[in-house]
Parts: sequence; structure tokens; C-alpha cells
Amino acid sequence: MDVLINLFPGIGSMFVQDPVIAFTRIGLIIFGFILAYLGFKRTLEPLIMVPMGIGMMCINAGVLFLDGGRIGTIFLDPLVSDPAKLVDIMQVNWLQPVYSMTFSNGLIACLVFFGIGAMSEIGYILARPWASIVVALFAELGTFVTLCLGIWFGLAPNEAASVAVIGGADGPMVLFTSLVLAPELFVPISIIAYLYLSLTYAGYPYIIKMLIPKKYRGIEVDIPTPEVSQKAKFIFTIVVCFVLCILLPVASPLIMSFFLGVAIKEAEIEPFRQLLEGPITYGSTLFLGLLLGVLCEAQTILNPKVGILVVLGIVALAVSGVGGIIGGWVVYFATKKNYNPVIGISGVSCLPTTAKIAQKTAYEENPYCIIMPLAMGAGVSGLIVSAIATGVFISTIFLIR
Amino acid sequence: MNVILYSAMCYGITIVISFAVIAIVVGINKFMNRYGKHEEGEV
Repeated sequence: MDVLINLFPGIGSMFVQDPVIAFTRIGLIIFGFILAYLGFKRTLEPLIMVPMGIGMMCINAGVLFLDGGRIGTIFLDPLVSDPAKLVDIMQVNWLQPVYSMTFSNGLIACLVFFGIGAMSEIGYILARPWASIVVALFAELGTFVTLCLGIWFGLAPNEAASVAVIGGADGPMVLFTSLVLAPELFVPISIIAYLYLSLTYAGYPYIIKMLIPKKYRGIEVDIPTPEVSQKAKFIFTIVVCFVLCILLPVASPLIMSFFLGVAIKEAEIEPFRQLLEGPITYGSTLFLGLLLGVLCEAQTILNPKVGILVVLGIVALAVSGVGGIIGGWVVYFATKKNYNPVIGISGVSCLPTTAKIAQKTAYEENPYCIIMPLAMGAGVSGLIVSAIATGVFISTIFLIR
Repeated sequence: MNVILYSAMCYGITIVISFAVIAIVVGINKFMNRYGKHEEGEV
């Protein structure tokens, strides 16, 4: 029996481990397979789910006996912090260098933000700037409601703030906040965030249909085409970047990454733009998905707080969606019905998914209804509002009792 | 600080900074448009 256990340690280790961990490993292997398959079927976001699912399967399957009879893997050890041990372990664990140099310091989130910035058109905000920001502020409601609920569920303030940021519907932002505020929970929080963000495409249309009667969904709106020069866009990009960095230094890595991407796009520095949009965005997304999957070991998932995080994550996104629609209605009445309340959903800054959902829903009711530019404006505003809310949380969380 | 009060305070700060950011964006755009037209007029 011992020979068999040592010959196939991936299977054999299950017989010598705590049965709860062994069964959780089996469950996670199956779950990883399902995630990868749903990514393949395009039911979930394939860019994240395929590497995450395969990573989850392999980390729970590839368990072996290490020195001193310890059970572990040769992927990575997220708990090593001693510099000498870290250097040693980097010689063994193949993903350790990527984790230690890009994850634990939040670099991976910033790299993704470079790409998001380079792909964002900040000029959309100027089509209806005040309407966009009002909608985006309403769509941030889930973040603040979830913070209160998190504390009520018994989470520490830093943990509650980390999971609350899911309400901003921005994966890299959630990753960055949880790494800064609650590093011990960043794996489950990030996985839950990315899983739910993939599901927004399926869930948000129902929220729209529940809260907006059919006849209002296809309202045609005036879309002003403001005069905005490339020079103006470049200047206000760098001025806003400076203002946000000086006001919220703790979130300045994310803010700078996003606005640098925007500035490179507006300055038409083609080699940089192509680098950010292609290799940096896709390279960091690949490693983001893979490492989130690989970090999903049985022991991590068995943390009793995971159940609470699962509930709070969905509440955060649902309340933000409802908040966005309420914002849409507020702007609709404030502008004497010259606004389509469906645009409200795109204030939840899951760019460009929510903007596409808004346009698709409006198009189903009225094929002549074009709201995409306004929806993108609300989405970019949502991104800025999420970054501000994140910065405010990180800077002030010590105030909470 | 009480959690509800804290959330309200954070929401308030977020609202103020967000409006300030949009005011900067709109202000710079208006200024640049006026400045651009002025430059064109001079030419």
C-alpha cells in the first residue's frame, strides 16, 4: 500500500490527508473542470475561466510528498515571507517568481489597468458628463451597502471593505484592495469577484427587465457630439490623474496605471499602445487567471469566512445593479425624460460588458435606439468612481470601530 | 466610528471627489475649445 501511495502521490495523498481536505480537493478538481468547460463554451469569460479552471484542477491534483513527509505542491507557496526562504523556494516552485513579484505587490492589477486604460475612450464621458457621473455614483451603492452588511456578518472592517469593492464590478480593483487590506482573504475574494463578474452578463438583463417597464427600455435619446480635441483629452487625462493621485495616494498605483494607458492612447504612441493592448493585457490576464486557480487549494476554500464572502459578493453586485438603474431613473426625470434609464446599468463599471448589456436590451425593444456612447461614458465614469471609492476605503478604514 | 456613519462619510467623499473630477474634465474641455477657437481667430 505504501508503495502505491508513494508511486501515485496525487491519489495516495488523499488517503493520508484529513478526509475533509481530500473530499474538498476532489470537489475543487470537478469545479475547476466545470469552470474551464464553461469558459470554453463562452458561458463564462474564457480569458479568465480557462486558465483559472485548469489551475484549480492541477493544484488540487498535483499534490505530492515533500521533504520531511509534508504534503504540498511544487507550484507556489503563498505564505512564505522570509526573504531567505523565498529565494530558496523560488528554485523549486515554478510559479513562485510570478506570484512573489507580480501578485503580492499588486503589480498584476496595475498591468491589467494599463490595458484597460489603453482601450478606454475617455471622450465618451463628455457626451453627457453630469448624467454619467450621477449614474456611476448610484451604481456604487452596492459597495457601501456591502461594507455595512460585511461588518454585520462579523467580518473585520478591512475584510468587509475588501469584499465590498466587488460592488464596483472591477476585477483588478478588487484584487488590489484585498491585497492591501486583507491579504489572507484575497484569494477567495478575487475568485468570487471574477466568477460573479462573469455572471453579470447573464444576471443584469433580468434586473433591467424587473425595474424598467418595456415601453421605457427603447427610449431614443439625444446624443450630443461635443467638440473635444485630442489635446484637450490628453490634458484632462493627466490633470485628473494628478488630482486623484494627490488626493488618494494609496490608490495611486492603480490610478496612474489606468490614466497612463489613456494618455498613451490619446498621445497616439502606437508602439506603446499596441504593447499595452496586446501582450501586457493578455499576458497579465493569463497569469491572473492561472494564479487565482492555483491559489485555490482545499485549505484556502475551507476558510469558514468563504460562505459569507459568497453571499456578500452577489449582494454587492446586485445592489450596484439596482443602484445603477435607480440612477438611470433619477437622470430620466431630472432631464425631463431625455434619457434612457437602461443606461443606468452601465454605471456598474464592468467595462464594456454592462454597456453592451444596456445597448442589447434597448435594441431588443427598439432597433433604432442607440445608447452605446452614453453607456460607455457611464462605464468609464463608473471606473473612475470605483477607483475613488477604493482609495477612500484604503485611506480611511482605520476610522471604523 | 459607527459603520453606517463611516459608509455614509465614504460615500459623501466619493461623491465630492467624483463631481470635482468631472468639473475638471468639463472645465478643461471648455477652456481648450475657447482657446483653440481664439487661436484660430488670430490666424
